[in-house]
Amino acid sequence: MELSSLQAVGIVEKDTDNGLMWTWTYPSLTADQKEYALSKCCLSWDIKTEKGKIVPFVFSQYRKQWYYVFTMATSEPTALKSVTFFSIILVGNDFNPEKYAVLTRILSKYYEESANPVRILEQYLMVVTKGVCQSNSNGVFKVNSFSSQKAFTTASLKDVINTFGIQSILLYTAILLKMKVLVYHSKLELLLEITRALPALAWHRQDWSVVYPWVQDRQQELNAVRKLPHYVVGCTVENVLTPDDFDLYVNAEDGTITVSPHAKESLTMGKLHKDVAKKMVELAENETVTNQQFIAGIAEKTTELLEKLSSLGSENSAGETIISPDHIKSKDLHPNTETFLMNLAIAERLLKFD
Amino acid sequence: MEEVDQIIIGSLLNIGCEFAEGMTSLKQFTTENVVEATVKCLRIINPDYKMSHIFPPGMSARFRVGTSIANTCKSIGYQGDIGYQTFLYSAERDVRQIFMFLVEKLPRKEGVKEDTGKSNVLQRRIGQVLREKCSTMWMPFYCKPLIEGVPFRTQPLFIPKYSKGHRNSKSQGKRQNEKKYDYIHRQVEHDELTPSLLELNCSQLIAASPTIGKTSKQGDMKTTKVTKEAFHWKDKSMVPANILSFLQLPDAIPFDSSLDEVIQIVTGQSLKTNRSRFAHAKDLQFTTVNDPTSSVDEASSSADVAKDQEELEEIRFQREEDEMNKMISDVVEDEEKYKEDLKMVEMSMKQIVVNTQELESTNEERIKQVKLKEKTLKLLPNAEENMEKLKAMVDASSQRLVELGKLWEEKRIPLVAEIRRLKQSKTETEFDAERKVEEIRLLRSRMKDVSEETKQKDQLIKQLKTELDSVKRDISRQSYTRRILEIVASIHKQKQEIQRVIEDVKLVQKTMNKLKGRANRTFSAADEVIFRDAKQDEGSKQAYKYLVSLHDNCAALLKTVEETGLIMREIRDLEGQIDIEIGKNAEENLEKILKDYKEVKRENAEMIKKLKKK
Repeated sequence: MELSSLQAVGIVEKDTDNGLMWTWTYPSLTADQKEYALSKCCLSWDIKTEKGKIVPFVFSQYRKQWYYVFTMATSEPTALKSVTFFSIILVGNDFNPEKYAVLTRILSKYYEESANPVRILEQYLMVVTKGVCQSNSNGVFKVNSFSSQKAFTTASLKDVINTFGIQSILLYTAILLKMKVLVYHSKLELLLEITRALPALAWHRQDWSVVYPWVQDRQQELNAVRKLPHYVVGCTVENVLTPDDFDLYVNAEDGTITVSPHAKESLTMGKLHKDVAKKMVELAENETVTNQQFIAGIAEKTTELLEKLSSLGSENSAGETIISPDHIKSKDLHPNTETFLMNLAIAERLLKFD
Repeated sequence: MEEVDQIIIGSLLNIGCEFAEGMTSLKQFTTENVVEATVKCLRIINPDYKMSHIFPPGMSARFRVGTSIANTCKSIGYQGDIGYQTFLYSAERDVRQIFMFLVEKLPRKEGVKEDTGKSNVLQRRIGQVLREKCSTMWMPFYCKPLIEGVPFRTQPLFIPKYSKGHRNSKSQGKRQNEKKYDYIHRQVEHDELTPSLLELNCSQLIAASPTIGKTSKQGDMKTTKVTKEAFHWKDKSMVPANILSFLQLPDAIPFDSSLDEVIQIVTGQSLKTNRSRFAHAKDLQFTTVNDPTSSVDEASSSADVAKDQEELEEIRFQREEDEMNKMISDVVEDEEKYKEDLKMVEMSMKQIVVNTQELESTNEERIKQVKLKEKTLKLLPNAEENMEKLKAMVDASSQRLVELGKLWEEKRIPLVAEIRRLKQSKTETEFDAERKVEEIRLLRSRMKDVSEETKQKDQLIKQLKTELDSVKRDISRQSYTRRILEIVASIHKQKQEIQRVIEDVKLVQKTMNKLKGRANRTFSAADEVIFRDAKQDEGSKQAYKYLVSLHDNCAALLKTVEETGLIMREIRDLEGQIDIEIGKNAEENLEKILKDYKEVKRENAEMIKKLKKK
């Protein structure tokens, strides 16, 4: 799968007279895709505003595809005349910012030197067919040396949890119950780090496709997001979505978490949460614990929780664990715990109705 | 000289010398006219100069006045010969010179130099308007023809402060509600506003009058009703009289006087009609009040009968209530159950949604995998061979793609360059356009300014035109220019004449000198020859003597001729002087002077006589 995860590559150039041009694509991108990629490319932002500065590497997800945009200024010696900045845009199926950051950098070096997209095409085809590409300065780039596991643990979940302290349990619950989470931070780089760290709270799912690291106030993006059953969405502008559209609002700048009114019932805390929260904060405060260990710690807790849940149900003929609402109800648990377990069972696709 | 005279007369007319009307020449001026005109001119030139322009009849007084005027003329810079005689015994030439000087000295009218400043325009405008206003006759405002009479038609007005409990017309109802709280000038038509206000005021006065106070003292609804009725009645017929008397005798009605007294005072009518209405209303009121009380009595009498029935019904109600309660509790129970069910259904829906989504997402992947695996299976029998083939294919495709990419690059580069060029030219044109727009904006603003200025100037022109029209068109300007042109022409001619004469003279002088020289030379040559001969020849001696005497005689002759010329010139000068003197009417004036002298003497003698008498 990894070999064919690359979908397309494109070049955007900014001329000396500030004109922006999409100069080259392989194999092709639709107008919608191009528009999205351009909106994520920092060259298209208004230079006059504060946000018009260059952000070298941006990644985001749109319609199940990941866009990686690397931007750099041309510096002498270069074959690129009358170009001040250019961006290499890669579209891929998998989430692996580090891998694509390296790849885009290599490609951009080639392009800056030769100003010939054929060099990029060659390297691109190398990566697609052989999984290897020759860097002109740093040896060989191998796709296999960038595992998705590594990508999932790169961003520090520990730091995120430390930012929010005991409130983090809300984040944990929301991710575990597959709820809609909106994260706000005005700094794009930080926002990307925070959002990509969050799915690690549900490590057992290994699902990073719920993350939309950066959603702008554009109708197509917002509509796409509104259709999703659950997500982790990042934004650098407040109020892109109304509280009806999300369950949890995370203001990473102020370190506050707000629960939308309609999600209050699902996010009521019980004894189980207290347990997890304690463990989480404990781990986060311990400086000797690495991010990987931290994630493993939480995963352990989650597994315990899931085992407990499974123990309530019964196995069916196919060997799958099945829980019916009556199973949970018969245990005569606290109503809050009961709701939580019910929702968790739904999220884990364990609940079966007659 | 006629033009000069006309110019002078025109100027004099301008400064208010009415006698000059119709005159064409200074010859027609009498001594009095001359003095009057001079004094007027002097007064304008020097506003401090105070002197009556009426020439006194007494001779000595005339002398004094003449002298004073002459001195004043000198003091303002007249350089010619001037004295009392100039005025008393005026010679046309002197008078003309003096007037020419004075008219020159007269202050120019403003308008020679026009200032286009705004304040100036405003002042002119003000002046113009005032002039226009002055030209129309003033009329008091009530004499203006536009004002027409307004019929006394009234509408009810609503003023929150006053209108409570007050109605001044029967037709209030809807309209009042609609227009309530609006300003009074919007409540009625413009024509009806004043009458309506007057009426409102009248009715308010009546309401505030002691009649109301009196009736309210009786403290009964009925009576207020009656007064209202009475009020309506008064409203129809009596208001003017009422108000008049009320206004005339504000203190005549004591505040605690009875209703009857008040009505009597106010209306001056007997109370009989009022009373009958009052009584009638009272009767009506009482009958209406009586009716409900009787019906209540009837009801109470039948109450006892109904008591038993009520008890029975109460028991029935109790039973029904119990039943209802039971039903309600059943329904509530059901509701709980349904709610629970609903929750379950919601949960199951959620689960289904999650499942569906999961399945959907995995489905695509699985389809892809299946396809891949199918292909792989097909190739499996000859795995090695096929692998090689595939690898070769991949490499070949890559190669081909790169080739194609290169080909595309060849096409692409010029295209991109073209786009860049076009963009560049576009931005340039945009820049150009922007610059042009800016220019246009600038031009527009300038146009605006200019048009404004033009407007201003137009206004000024209009104003000046009207002013020009208002100023009487005199001949002065025209005649001045004509005169000046003539003078210039004549001066030119004179200059030429003089030049010619000078040339003539020079020529003659030259010839004279030449001849003189020749004569001298001939003489000296002759002298020498004859002198030489004279030493030897006696005859020659004689000849020499004759020659010398001839020479002397000729010199004498020449001298005489020169002297004659001088005398001739002197004669001509004298003739000129005589002409001048003749122009001054010397003889006539002398006679006049003599006459005046005698007059003065006579006056003096009379005065001395008078003094002696005293």
